[in-house]
Amino acid sequence: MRETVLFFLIVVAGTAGELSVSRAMKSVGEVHDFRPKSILRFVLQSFRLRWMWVGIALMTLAFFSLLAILSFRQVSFVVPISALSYVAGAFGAKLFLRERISRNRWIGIAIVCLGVTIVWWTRG
Amino acid sequence: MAMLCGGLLSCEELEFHGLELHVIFRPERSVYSSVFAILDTPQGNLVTRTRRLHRKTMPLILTSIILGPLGNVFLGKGMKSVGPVTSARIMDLLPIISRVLRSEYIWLGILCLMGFFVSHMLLLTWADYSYVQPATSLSYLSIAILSYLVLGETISPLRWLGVTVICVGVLLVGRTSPSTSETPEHA
Repeated sequence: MRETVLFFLIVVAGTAGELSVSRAMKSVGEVHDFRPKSILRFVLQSFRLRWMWVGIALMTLAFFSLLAILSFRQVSFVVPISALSYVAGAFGAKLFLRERISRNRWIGIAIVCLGVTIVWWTRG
Repeated sequence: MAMLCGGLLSCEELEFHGLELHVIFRPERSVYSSVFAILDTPQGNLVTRTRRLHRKTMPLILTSIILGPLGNVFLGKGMKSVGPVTSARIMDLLPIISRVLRSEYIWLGILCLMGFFVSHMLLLTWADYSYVQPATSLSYLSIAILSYLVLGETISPLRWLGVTVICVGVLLVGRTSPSTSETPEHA
């Protein structure tokens, strides 16, 4: 149960956090200039956005859940299971960012789910 | 001669640009040029834009594939030395958090993940989330390799199979156009 809750937080909060950061990044615009001053300005500009902070809060929650689960599970088990974020990511990108998900991507996502299931069997 | 070129260059151009001749006799280049010309729309050249985007994103994707898993491996090493987190009560978590913050491996892991985060953010400004996530997720293979090499974790054949299946899925997802929201008709 504890493990399931932690994996749920890693996948759902982590993906929601990434989607929020992605939304913030899209409103900041593309980076073309890699001078330190420009990068600093870009970072400061992105930290002024609400979505950036929402993203950071969610990703922090996912991060501490990851630390907790890593304290009693192998890295080579935890990280592949967290690939479930693909499913969450695809649905999130479709609903939240209005991105189109092609049929090939859905097939890929289904294969990822199969892989996650196989890794889950090695739980021991 | 003009027919051989697929009508892309006129005879006058051939005589004038003598160096172009070798290109014409390579069918794949001619075919490619034809596709290239067809897709040269007023909105911008789709092929050039996609290739430029791939060239721009590739080094950052490679950085992400290495730094992300390395960060997780260090975090795993750090957390194993901290000890298992078995309680969710604040009073029990405080000493654990203090041990976490004093672990050098945790900080090393965080440093790697920060590098990963910066390259990931830059990627997200150029390409869509649903492209960036799959592309950087070849890291699932490198995490298995690094866990085995650095942490000495025993990985059963079934787990290797699972990780490989995940990577196959990821590669399939990754082999799509980088920016779906800009060119929905080619997504």
